[in-house]
Amino acid sequence: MPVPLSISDFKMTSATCEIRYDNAYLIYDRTGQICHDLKASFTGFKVQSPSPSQTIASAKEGSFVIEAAASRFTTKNPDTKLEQFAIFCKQFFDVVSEGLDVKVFTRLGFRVLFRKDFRGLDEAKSAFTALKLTTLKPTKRFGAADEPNEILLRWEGEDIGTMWRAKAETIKIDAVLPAELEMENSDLRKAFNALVVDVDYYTVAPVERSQWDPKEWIRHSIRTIRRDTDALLGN
Amino acid sequence: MDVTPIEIPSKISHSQPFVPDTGFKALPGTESSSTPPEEEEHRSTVGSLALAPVIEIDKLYSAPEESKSQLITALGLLADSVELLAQARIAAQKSRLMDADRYTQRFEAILPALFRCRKIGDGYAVVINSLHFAAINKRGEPLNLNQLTTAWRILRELRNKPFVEFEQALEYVEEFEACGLRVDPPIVSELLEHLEHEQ
Repeated sequence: MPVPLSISDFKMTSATCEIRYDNAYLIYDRTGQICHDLKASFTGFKVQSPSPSQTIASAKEGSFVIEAAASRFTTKNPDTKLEQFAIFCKQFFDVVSEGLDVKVFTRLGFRVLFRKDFRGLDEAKSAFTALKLTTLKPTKRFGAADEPNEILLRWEGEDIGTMWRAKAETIKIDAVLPAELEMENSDLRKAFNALVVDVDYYTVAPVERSQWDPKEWIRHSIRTIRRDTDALLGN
Repeated sequence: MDVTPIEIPSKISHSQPFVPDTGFKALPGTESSSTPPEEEEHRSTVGSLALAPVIEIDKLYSAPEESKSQLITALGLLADSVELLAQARIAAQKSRLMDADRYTQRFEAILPALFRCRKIGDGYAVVINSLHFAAINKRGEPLNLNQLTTAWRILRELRNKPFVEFEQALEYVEEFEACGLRVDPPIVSELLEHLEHEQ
C-alpha cells in the first residue's frame, strides 16, 4: 500500500508567471528600450530571438518572452519559497507594463511544476492510481490501458481559475556536450520515472495594474496551490 | 584574451507531451516554455474591457489565516476606515454631528496603523500621509460632509487599487485640497498660512 503523498514530497522543477493584455502595439516601438532596462536588472541578459511581435531572452535568473498580447518569465530552478522568483517577476513585469503602457491585464497566470521521482514507471503509476482522483473502475478503455495515467482537472469561477494536472511519466533528458569540453562521456542521457503535478493558477476577471503586485500575488498564489494540492493528494 | 563562450545544448524530452498536442485548444494555459504559443482563442476584450468588472481585491489576494503581509493588514484596516467614514457620512447627512465626529475620530485612530503599511507603495503612502496631516491640521474640528465624502471615496478606491501609481495618488491629494483639507505637515501649513496673511 503506497504511503500517502504530500506536496512536500515533491520538488518544484519549474515556475512561470505570465501576464496577458489587450494587444500592446507599443511593442513595435519600445522593445529595445525594454530589453535595455532588463539588461540592467538581470545577470547575463541576452536576447535569443528578436522579432517584431515576439522577443525571447534569457538570463541567469530565467527566460523571458515579450509578445504583443502576453509576456512571461520562467525559471527552471525556482527557490523553494519562490521569494527570489517573485522579486524577478516584479522587476520584469514592472519594466514590461511600463514600457508597453499596459494598464489592465486580461489574465494573470502562475504555473508551477512539481515532480516526485520513483525507481520505475510502474511505481510512479501506482502512486498516481493511489491518489484515487477518479472513481472510474479499472477496465481497458479505448484499447489503451486499464487505468488512466494522467488526470486534468479545472476549476473556474468568475474571478479565479485553476488547471490541475497529475501524470505518471518517464522524463528523458538528452544532452550532448560540446567536444571542446573534452569530457570522457559527452553524451549524457538520463531518464526519470516520476509523478508530475502541474498547476496553472490564473485570474479570469480583468486585473488593473494598480491592483497587482507580483511579489504579493505569487506569495498568496503558491500558498493556495500548496494547500489545495495537499488536499487533492489526500492530506 | 577573448573567450569564446561554450553553450551546452540541453534537451528535455518527455515520453508524452504535457498538454494535448492534437489541436485541442480548449486549454489555453499559462505557457511554460519559450516557444511561441499556438494561435489560440483569447477572450476578446476590445471595446468590452472598459465595461468588464475588474477583479475584487479580496479575490486576488485571498487572505490566509495569521497572514503577516502588510497588504492584508492594510486591506483590513482600509475596509474598517471605509466603513467608519460611511457611517460618519450618514450621520452628517442626518445632522447628527456628534455621531459623525465620533466615527471620524475612530477612523483617525486607524491612520497610524495604515501608515505603518506604507511599504505597499509610494502612491499608497502619499494618500495615507496626506489624510494623516489633514487630520492634524484640522486641530480637532470635525470634517464636513464634503470632506468626509472625498476621504471615503478615495479610500474606497485605494482599497481596491492599493498599488496606485504615484501620479494618480497626487491627483487624489489635489482632491483632498480641493475640498478644503490641508495635507501638508503642520509646520509647512503654518508657513503657508503666514505667507497668505502677508499677501
